[in-house]
Amino acid sequence: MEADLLHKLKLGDKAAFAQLVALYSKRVLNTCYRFLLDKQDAEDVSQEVFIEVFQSINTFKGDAKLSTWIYRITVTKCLDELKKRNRKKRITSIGKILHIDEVANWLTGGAMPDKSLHEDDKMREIAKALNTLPDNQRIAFTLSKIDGYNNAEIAEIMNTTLNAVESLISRAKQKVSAELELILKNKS
Amino acid sequence: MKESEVNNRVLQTLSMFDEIGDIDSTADWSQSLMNKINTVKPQSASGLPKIRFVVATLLILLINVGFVLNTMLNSSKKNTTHKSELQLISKELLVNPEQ
Repeated sequence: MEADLLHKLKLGDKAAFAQLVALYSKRVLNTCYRFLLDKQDAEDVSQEVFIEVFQSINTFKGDAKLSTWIYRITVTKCLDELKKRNRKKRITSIGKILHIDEVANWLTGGAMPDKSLHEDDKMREIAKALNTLPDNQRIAFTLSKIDGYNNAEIAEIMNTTLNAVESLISRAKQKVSAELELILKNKS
Repeated sequence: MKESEVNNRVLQTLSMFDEIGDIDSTADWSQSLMNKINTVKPQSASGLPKIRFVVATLLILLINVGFVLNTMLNSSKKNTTHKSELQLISKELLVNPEQ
């Protein structure tokens, strides 16, 4: 079935693409949501994922499963988005220090990134703690928190071993807990 | 804040990440995605190697032209006159050519 779908996709069949979107949209969307912790951003990035899939389907050689390839693109796009946010935040902070909010606003392309990013304090704390993790720990930890991704699948997506994934998740848990502890202590 | 209280809050905050609900794609989202898809073209699998081949050919051509030019410049520098050749030979023979 996957081979048939892939064949049609490579021919540029839009109906096959719609079928692909129906199959994977929920998981892609929720993966983006867990990484970005913002619904609107998750919707935007997941659209970018499917556009990338559509554009580069002919470069997919079939070394991995189609789903694994799609989730790899999803994770990469989410990390790119997080890096973009961090850059914007840095520019915004400089602007705030120098009291040139208008310039900071212009440099960040309009709206401030924090405006709709986190709805409550706890989410902000989690995001802050997750930001301290190295990329591979963040990927393993976040994917492990999403229904349906087991460690074997995470290993496939990250192109690593099951043992490595288990170790990454365990180290990530420890680091996130320690960071949260620090954040909460500093707040009180 | 007490240590136990901090630990409790850490656990609470972490559990919140576990409890984030799922979101579903809406009809608007699907429609807007399909609209975007209609404006883009898939990359052809054969397009990339073709570009690579052209770039590689151009590079080889450029290196060759550089090599030829370099050889030409060096050989023109080495062009010696009859007098300079005589001077060189005489120096080696320790004979003054002016004499």
